[in-house]
Amino acid sequence: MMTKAMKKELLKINDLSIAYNTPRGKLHAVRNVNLTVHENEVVALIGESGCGKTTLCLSIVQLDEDNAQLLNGEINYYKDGEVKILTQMSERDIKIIRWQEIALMFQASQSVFNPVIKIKEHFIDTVKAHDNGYSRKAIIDKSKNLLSKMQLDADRVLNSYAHELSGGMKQRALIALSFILDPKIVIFDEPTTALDVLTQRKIIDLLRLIKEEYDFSIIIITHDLAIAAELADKVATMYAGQIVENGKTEDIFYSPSHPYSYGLINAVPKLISDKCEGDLSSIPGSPPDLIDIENKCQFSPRCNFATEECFRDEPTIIKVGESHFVACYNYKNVPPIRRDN
Amino acid sequence: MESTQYLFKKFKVGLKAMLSDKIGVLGISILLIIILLSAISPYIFPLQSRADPTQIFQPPSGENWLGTDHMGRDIWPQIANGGRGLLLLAFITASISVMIGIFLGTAAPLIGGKFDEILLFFADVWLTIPRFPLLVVLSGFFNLTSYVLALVLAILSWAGLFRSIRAEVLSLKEREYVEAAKMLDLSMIHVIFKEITPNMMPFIIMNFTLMMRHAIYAQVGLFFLGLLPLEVNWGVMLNIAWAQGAIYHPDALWFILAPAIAISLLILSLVWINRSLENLFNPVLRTDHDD
Amino acid sequence: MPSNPVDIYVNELISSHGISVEAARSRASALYALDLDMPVWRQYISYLGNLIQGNMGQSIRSPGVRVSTIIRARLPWTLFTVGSGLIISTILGIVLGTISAFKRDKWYEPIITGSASIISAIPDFLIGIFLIIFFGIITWFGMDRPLLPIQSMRGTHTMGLSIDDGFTYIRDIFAHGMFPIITYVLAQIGMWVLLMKGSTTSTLKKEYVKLAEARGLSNTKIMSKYVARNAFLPIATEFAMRMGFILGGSLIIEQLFVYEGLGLELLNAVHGRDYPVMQGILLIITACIVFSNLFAELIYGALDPRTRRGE
Repeated sequence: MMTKAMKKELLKINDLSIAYNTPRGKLHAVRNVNLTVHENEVVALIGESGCGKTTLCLSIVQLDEDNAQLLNGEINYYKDGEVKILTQMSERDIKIIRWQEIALMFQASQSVFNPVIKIKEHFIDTVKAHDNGYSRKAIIDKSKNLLSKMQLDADRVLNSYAHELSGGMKQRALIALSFILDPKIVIFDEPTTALDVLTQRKIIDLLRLIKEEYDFSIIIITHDLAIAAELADKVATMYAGQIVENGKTEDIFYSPSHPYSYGLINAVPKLISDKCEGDLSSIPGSPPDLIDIENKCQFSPRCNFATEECFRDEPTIIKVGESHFVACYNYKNVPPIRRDN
Repeated sequence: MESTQYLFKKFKVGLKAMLSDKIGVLGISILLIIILLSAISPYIFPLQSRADPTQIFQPPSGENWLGTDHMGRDIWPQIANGGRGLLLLAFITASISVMIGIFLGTAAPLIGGKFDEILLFFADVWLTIPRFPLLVVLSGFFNLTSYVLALVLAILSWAGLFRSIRAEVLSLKEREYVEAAKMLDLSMIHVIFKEITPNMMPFIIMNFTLMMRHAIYAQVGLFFLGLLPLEVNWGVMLNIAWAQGAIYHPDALWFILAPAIAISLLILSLVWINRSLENLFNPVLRTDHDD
Repeated sequence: MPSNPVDIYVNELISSHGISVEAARSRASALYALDLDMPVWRQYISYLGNLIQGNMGQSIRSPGVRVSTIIRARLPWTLFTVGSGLIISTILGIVLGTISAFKRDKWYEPIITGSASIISAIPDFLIGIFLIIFFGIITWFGMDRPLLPIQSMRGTHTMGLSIDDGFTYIRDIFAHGMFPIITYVLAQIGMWVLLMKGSTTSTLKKEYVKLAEARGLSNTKIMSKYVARNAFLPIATEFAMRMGFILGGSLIIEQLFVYEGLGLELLNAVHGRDYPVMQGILLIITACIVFSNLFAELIYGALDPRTRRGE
């Protein structure tokens, strides 16, 4: 998608670090992350599992696990020219932000509905929790409208229990639910995992449709790079709790500057070229242990471009192009992605 | 054989993890002590058969570690020897019942059709049988010797395991590797023993300890009620202590407390082992019923 | 068969009254209204025939007394004690289990869970024995007698008292039923605590609870509509199932406290080879289990939409 002209900032994550207290010590899940989300922008977070994407998103609505601890940094949310510091909000205030301003949808959304109440109760509970003075009838009408937009049989879905719906239907119902309060930001954590390819396709198409109609921003966590490429304006690659590369979608996908982004993009089999010529390069090795972090580029042990320098000192993120940032000493050596078709 | 090797490896890994769990270690230790005592006691702590009217209901001393009973006999050798029968019988019961459970539980879903339906119906009916009262009534009709009791107990308790294993096999049947094995034209027996049984091992072991618990409860209960032939074991000790009015005799406290605590420890050890196994295998067994 | 009740009776007559075998048999036959020359299976068929008409026959030990009369006299006591035990233990278990699920970082949580797991493992009759020893036998330091007069608390109620005595009677039956009830409570409470704790803990981890938080729902709403309703499902089923075992679980406990309920009656019937009574009680126990299984399914259907069909 095209990036539009200068947008207002909506969400700004400043130097955020979060650690989990574990029996073995502090696990640094998010380390010094900076990320800005503008109005009407789609940001994709890519990276392997366990690299801190989910922790980062949970912390935006302050829903981290009990053993998570904010080490430094803050998350700012801009509303009507006012700054709200989400990381310092009281439980009561953040409850108002949740879903009304920022809706967070979870990974593997198959059991996100309470099995003993009907789907419509979920819509009603959500709206009632935010005390907007809607009548039950108004809520149902709005829900029906949203569900129809998601191409669901609204009446049937509202009066169903979760187990009566298929995986794809539940996912679409959840997306409809996430728009019931017109949030400014919707966070999708792996919206298409556990769905079959056709259903995935449908979900993506519906997301695009609804995106065209409403004004809101999306943060999408995915390891399906095709989704990121298709939906996102901006891509941030996360590795070992850090954002190692951040830039416009076309920059990241066609001329990645971090060897890890390069590896992720190259790992996708290019089915379009029917040659399938052994280009299925995956990244060897596994992510580092985030409890004992050494002062070096965390990716260096798995990196083909690593030099001596990389093992000595952790690189900081630098600007390498117009709104393109990367944390790598050897970014100039990373080749552009070859496009065969 | 590969599968035995696989089982052995799994067992070793399991044992190692279990030893890191305090409760599990406690359970295993108690059970091992009871087994050890059962094995060596006939030689080291032989039973004293002669009554000694001068020594009735003596408190614990250096000579009589747990005091003496209503006939002036030392209680400790009775405790040391009194677990063997219970344990052996519980083991036999659990083995038979687990075997029936595995056999029918795998056969029913694999054969399927009417056979499966009838067995399932039968198991459902079976589960509604009030086990202990029925045992009590049966002991009024027949002279239940230890082995007959083991068999009856096993037959009375196969249905629960049958149902769990059947469900597990049904879900395993759908999994890819079993499908793959079928496509490779491996026989069903092979699939059962090579693929399905190892996968259900944790489950079976846990059921085994559970079954042993039930068997011990039933035995001790029947012994306590005086419905089984008398021999030396903890249940009979309880019965005698009870029948002798020892419970209303403050001096006889040790006579009744000793077997009661011994039985509690034996059952607790099985419970703890079971719980530790459950924690250990939880990731394997955990199923989400949301969908 | 050596344990044929009529044979026992006949032998008794011969040995105690010194009459001939023939005379003894004819007396027994007249007494039990049995045709002793009929094969045993024909006798059984006629018993079943009577059963279908609601006639469970007559007791052999107390000739002339109908089995249904005996059951009617004993059943209320067992229902009273085991039922109270079940209800009290479930309520306490739900409370303690919920506390231990939510206060996992408090010092008392391991104590609750630990005691629950120990006490749930100990057989009920041992708990009864421990109770008797603790309250009725040991004379604790500084006292001149045991805590409770356990001998006079035997039986279901004090002789001579009846329902007409009002409050005195009620107090009396509770005093007599106290030990069995406490035993049933202790024997089951651990299981309820662990079940409730496990169920609540696993429900709290469910995605729908987390999503309810993400949706900004109030804690009260989340707890009542999302956590409690789901965590309660296994408790409700288990409760219904346990109701079935209400009668069967009372055997040893009633023997222990000499409490004249259905369990003790069954034991006496077994010892006296009173087959009609044995069969009648076993029948009642089984019927109770079957009905409670049906009830459990109804409850589950009502509480959990996933088990409902044809909607």
